[in-house]
Amino acid sequence: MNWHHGVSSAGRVLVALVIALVLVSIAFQTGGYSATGTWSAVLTGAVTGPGSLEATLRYALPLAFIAIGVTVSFRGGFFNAGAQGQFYAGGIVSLYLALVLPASMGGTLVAFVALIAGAFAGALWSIIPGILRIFFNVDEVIGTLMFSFIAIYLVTYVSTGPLKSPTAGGQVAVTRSVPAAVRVTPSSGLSVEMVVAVLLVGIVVWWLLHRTRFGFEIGLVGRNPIMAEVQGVEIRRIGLATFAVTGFTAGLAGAVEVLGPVGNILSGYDPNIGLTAILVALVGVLAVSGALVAAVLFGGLTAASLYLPLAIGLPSTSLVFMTGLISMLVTARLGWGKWPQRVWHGGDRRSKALHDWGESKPLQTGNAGTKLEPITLDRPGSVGSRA
Amino acid sequence: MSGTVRVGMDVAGRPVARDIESTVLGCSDLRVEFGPVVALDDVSLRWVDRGKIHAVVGQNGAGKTTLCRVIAGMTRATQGTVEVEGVSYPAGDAQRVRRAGVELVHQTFALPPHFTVAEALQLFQPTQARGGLYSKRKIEQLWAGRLEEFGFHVLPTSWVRDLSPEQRQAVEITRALSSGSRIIVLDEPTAVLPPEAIAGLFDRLRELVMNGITFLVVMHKLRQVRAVADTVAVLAGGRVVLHPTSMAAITDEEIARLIMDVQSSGSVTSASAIAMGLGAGVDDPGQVHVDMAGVDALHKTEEADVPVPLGAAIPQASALPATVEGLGGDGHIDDIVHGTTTKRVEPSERRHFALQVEEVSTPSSEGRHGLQAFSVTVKVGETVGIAGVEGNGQQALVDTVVGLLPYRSGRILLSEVDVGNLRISARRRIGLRYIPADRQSRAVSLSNSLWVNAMAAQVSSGYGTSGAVRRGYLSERKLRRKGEDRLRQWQVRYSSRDQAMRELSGGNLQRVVLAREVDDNAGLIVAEQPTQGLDLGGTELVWAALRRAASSGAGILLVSSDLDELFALSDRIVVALDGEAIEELYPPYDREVLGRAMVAGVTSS
Amino acid sequence: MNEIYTFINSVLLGTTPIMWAALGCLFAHRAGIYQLGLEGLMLIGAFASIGGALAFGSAWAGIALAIAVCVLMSALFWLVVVILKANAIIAGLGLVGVGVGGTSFLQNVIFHTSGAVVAKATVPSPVPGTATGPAAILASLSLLVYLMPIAAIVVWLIARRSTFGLRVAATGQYPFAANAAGVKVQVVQLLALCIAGAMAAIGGSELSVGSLHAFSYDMTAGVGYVAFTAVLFGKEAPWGVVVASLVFGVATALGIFGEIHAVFGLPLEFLQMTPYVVTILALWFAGWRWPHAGNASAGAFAELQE
Repeated sequence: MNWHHGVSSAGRVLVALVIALVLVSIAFQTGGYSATGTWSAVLTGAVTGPGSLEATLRYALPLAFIAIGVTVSFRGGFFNAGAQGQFYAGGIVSLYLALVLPASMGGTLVAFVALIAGAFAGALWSIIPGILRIFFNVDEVIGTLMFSFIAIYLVTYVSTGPLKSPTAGGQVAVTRSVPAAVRVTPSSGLSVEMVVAVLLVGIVVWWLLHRTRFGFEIGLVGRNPIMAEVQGVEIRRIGLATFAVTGFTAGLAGAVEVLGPVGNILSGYDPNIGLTAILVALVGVLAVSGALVAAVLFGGLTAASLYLPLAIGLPSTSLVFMTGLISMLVTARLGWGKWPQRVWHGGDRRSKALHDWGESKPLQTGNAGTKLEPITLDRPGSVGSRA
Repeated sequence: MSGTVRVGMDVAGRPVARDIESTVLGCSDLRVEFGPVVALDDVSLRWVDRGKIHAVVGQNGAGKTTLCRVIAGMTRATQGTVEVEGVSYPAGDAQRVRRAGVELVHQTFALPPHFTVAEALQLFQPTQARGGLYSKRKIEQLWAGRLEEFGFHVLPTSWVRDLSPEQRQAVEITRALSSGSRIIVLDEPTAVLPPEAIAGLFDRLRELVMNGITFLVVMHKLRQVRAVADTVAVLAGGRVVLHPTSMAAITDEEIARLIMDVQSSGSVTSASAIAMGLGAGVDDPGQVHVDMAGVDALHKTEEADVPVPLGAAIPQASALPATVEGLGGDGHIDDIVHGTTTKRVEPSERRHFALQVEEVSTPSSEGRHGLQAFSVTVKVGETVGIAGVEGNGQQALVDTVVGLLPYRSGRILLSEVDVGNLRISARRRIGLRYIPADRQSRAVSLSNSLWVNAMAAQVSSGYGTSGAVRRGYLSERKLRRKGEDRLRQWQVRYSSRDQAMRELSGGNLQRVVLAREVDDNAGLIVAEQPTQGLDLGGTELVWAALRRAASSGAGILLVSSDLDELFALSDRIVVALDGEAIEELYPPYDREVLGRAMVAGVTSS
Repeated sequence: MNEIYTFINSVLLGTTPIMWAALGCLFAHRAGIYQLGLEGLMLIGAFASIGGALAFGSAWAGIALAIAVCVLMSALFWLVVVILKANAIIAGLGLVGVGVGGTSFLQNVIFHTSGAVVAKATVPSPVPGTATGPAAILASLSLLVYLMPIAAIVVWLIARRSTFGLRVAATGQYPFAANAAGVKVQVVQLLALCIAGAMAAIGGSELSVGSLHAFSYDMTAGVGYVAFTAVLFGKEAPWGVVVASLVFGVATALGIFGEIHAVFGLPLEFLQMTPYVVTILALWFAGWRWPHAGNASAGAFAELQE
């Protein structure tokens, strides 16, 4: 739909990717690593090498789950930046259930229950800041980020406390392992069931977005919530639903990761998956299909980054540099549209009147459709705090 | 423009004063254009008395605010000069005008809310700052002194966000005066104040005038002008219709008549046509005049409007004008505009009332009146106009009817169903339709595609999407087709239904809104400034669409600041003042009577 | 007694990098830009200072280099966020990636190791002596620890008692007012971000050439995010940020201090969570909303959608 918009945003993403690629190549070259050699090693590590493709898909799997959910939030205009925490919440709950549910239930059933519970845990972890945002106007970026930080400590607590593996040494913070019968993938991290699951989630979300009133309304709220409200959209309900969907898929990803390839929880595991997944959603131009493609791309980068130290002695984190660059550029206006004017009131972000959610006034999230409204006297800040 | 002292420039372009020592503030030959709209047209004004309060009045869109901004140098003029204390400057030079001692106090305040008063004032005038640093105690003392000096009771330690509107205004005026300015331009200072604070402001102004400060004040209400001003000037349609005149020398009635720009003929003047935006692309005012007459001829006022006392029980038959005839539901736009008769809604098919607003009150928010036991009814097939100077409760009325604003007391019924706490979607299913004034934020989603905009309400509220949406599941293909049908039907000019809304022009954009909001199941259409900013063709189309909707059974609540529009469409006009419905008028309308009611609150009763 | 000294030592060591970075980041937040890239900037600062110290043989030269590099990175961030209108949160997280990836790559290229790079020149302590007890601890702390109070006072003066501070705050709160007062909003934002960058560089330097005397991969380990939260937790006010940094410093020290596993019967992790919970609660109860809310950050997406 809207093909020319799709093309132009895809174009912007492409420009960001190319710029990042060029800069990284220059960095490699000047650092004494041949750029072509590096990229061919990346290709080997991600695609052509033995087991590479499998590794790529294995890392793409959780990214795809999360990115699909993040897509929903972002399309609804809500900046849910807490995928990391939701991922952890899902992981912790599913691990707990996998450990405590009686084996007599049967591995498959336990796994299924643990997966679903993990997904709901993620949804809960997302909906709390969502409620704070929608009913109490607590900025969702801060809310979701704080919940992520809290989840990081929960992971530490779980891995050092109640679920700590008795066999682990004093300083190693790792939990007991999930029973083999409950594991949803082998430790390679790939199973037919999980690939089917991710495709299924993709199809369901795509269908929600494009074939239901719910999806239609998300599109309205995300671009102009005031207009949406005037048309009869229950913007609060839509907002909460987008938070729930994002948390659900991120929680599911966390559960799959724990019940699949990892098998336990190590303090501070997968610290960047939330950010990378947000990036995947953006590079996928906030489309489900785009997210799937971008997930494979970034899964490939992850797989390759593990191969690089072995192949050419480049540290595995070098590619983090590249994802960082893409991240910095992907939302920038790179030659598309108008070159931003010197905006007297400080840019687009200022154009939104902050309406008070609590008093049945229209919600305002950021959107291109809102006219300039630089005047709000409720503008917060903190000169107010007497030092 | 008689009475204007022309001011010349020397070879270097520097202004040269010539025999105008007595002019404290003035302007010559000001012309300001915003695109095709001429906001100010050859405006020359001259105020001679220092230490006086000079008022400028006029309707919405008469150019008052533009005049203020041009005089203060905030807006560039196409041509003309501004004179301050006998020296003339090219219009639009904020720096020099400011240095000459003119300060503008905005209608909306420019104070950071989380600053203390002292900090906010310090931001604008970094005094007492040694090496960029200041002492909190010192600046608080300094500004406490200044505030006291100017007669304002505001603590420099209080937060801006905690100030009442009048206190904020006091801080703004202090800011303006502290720069050493002797001439303060106040843009609608009473608009943001609660009624009880206005007298206080006037007292302050009078005290400051004693100290030799000159005020140029834009105002809406004659009562207030009478209360405080020494002279009054009237703008209408971007032109001067009354040069500064002593208040003693003119009556309220005369001023009201001038504000309404009533000519002996009673017809629309070219100037107000231009102000309405109808003069787009038309250079010859005479041409506009002819066109306007054409519009009037096209839409002969329905004869059959029977004035019915408010709230009285109405026999069904008389609820509809007998001669009004409608069009078929799928009438092509040409039919809509050129009016053939195909369909007439039988009175028995309908209910009596499209809308009943009974004694509804809402809290007033900053600068905007809430409703005070406001009552208005719209019968099926009837168009009721709401007239009033902006900010007298119109917005609150629209918002409560639409469902965006809760009301404290009273009742609202749509098609005789109490909508008490019904959501917007439920109200829409009952038949509510809404054409908002604020098109870019309320009416359309600029980055969404045309078909989405055309079908947004139907999908979201669940009506009129037969087949395309079933129990929450929608067929995008069918929806697009339905959307496209509507776009075609309303002759929206577009290249693709997937095109983004922002690519459309104003008139085209309003057609998309009409395509969504005007349909056969409409029970009540709330039309808020429906033709603002549209050209003649666009205006004609909107008017025709509203007439057609009324004739096929919708009630229409028309909120407009365009009197010609109100006269052309309304079966009744209700005048809103301070959140109350103070007067109800019936055709034939008298511009003067309406003007008196709107501006001066003079009613027949 | 010794344990108390050790604990105070840990608190000071934990607080210093957080406070330096948070005090700088304060300006960025007050100017209306979330600088989530703080983590990356600190890491870059830590690396650049050790590189500079090794190259020039002086820790101060290293810190100067770190400041220069971080100011440059901050200017780039400004370019991307303010001029190219990128989303500050996404770009900030990207800056973290650039910091993590860039430093580890350069570490490999320059020092040919992925282990620790040891600093030869370090920031000295103003207190002489190597006696045991309190004196030893004082002597072990770098000058940057002692400069902390001075930095706080200077930041307070600039943020709360200077015309520039007023301009920064007006820019963040109400650009319309800033503009009306003749403030160049974008320039103020650039300066604020550069201050944040410079002080993040000092915070990072304290980690490498200040206290640990080495650089290792991802050595900030979330300190930048903590500093970011400290700015929020401290309500963007200088003394608030100082207190918030101390709170986080204590929390860090508790984590390091091996013996403590539970405080008031609660597992340590729950104690460490509290600043984050309190930040949210503060946002909720106090009802103060943010100078630039996330509802604004999502604005960029309307155009990214298909």
